[in-house]
Amino acid sequence: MKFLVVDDSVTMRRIIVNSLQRIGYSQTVEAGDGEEALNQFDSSIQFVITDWNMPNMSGIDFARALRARPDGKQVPILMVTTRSMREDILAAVEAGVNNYILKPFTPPTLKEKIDQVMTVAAGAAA
Amino acid sequence: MTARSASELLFDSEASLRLVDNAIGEFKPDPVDGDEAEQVKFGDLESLTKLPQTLFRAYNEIRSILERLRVSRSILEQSAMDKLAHMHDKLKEVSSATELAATDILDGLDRSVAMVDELDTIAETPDDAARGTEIRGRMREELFGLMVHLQFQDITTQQLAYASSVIMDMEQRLAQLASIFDPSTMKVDEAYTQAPTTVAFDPEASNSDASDRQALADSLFTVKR
Repeated sequence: MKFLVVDDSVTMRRIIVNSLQRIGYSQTVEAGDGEEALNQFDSSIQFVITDWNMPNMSGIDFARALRARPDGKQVPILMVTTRSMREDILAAVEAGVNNYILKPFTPPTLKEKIDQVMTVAAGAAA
Repeated sequence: MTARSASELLFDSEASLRLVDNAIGEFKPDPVDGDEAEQVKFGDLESLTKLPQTLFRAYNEIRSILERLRVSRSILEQSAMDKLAHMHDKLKEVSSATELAATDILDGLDRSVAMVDELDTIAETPDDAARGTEIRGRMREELFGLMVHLQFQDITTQQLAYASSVIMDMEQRLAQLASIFDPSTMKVDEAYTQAPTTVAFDPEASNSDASDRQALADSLFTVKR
């Protein structure tokens, strides 16, 4: 499975990519903000992990833009962010985000959320 | 009270000061030439009769300005104190998060060094290969854990960006206030204060209560999904 990892922090991208490798996912592409991610996105991407607070285009705007694209309607989106206010989380749900992880996260949490999203996606496809 | 309404109040105060300035200007006789100048100096009775009225208007304007300045001051004080208090909390969090991460990383390094010592001991007994494999596995997990602790860097970057934005905001407010009294006394580098920050940040970014915050997110996603 190929992941698109979007975060303006190089440190966070490395941690997420390394965590993915640890749990068995080695195919990743990276982007530093929403705009770059929209340019990077294509049909080969099967899972998106994005931060919220980024310059140029935020993660929430990226999620909305992705959902507006014909090729981005179904791709699972996992948001990994510091934003923990109730209204922010609800905004993410409304934007079409499939699951949500608060930073700082642990690799088992990352695996658990990816598994949950994939299970729901598989159920919807069946 | 928003920054916009605070700046509107400052603008109103400035406008009132200009009105006073105009009112005072009315005292000045129009510039005249030659003999007439002497006449105006001693004989502008019309201006003198208007003096009480003008003074009364000036008094009312000044009273109104003082009232507006009092309101402006309390608004600025309130918003500034709230923001500064929040900033202070965030800076304390940066300090404690840095220390916590450093301690966790040092603990992990201690455990890793102990495992290397164990591997050295095992190397002298070649029959214990299984135990060596087990130790190397634990050590990999330990080293990976050290990397995960470095997430604090992303969170403290956001906390420091928030603190920086509060300082810039305070600087702009002080400059606005100072410019009411004398625009030439305080010059702020506009390019600096109005430059958009390149770091997008969450003012509430935190390292603490991670499990509680995750539980809230999980509950909302479960309900809404």
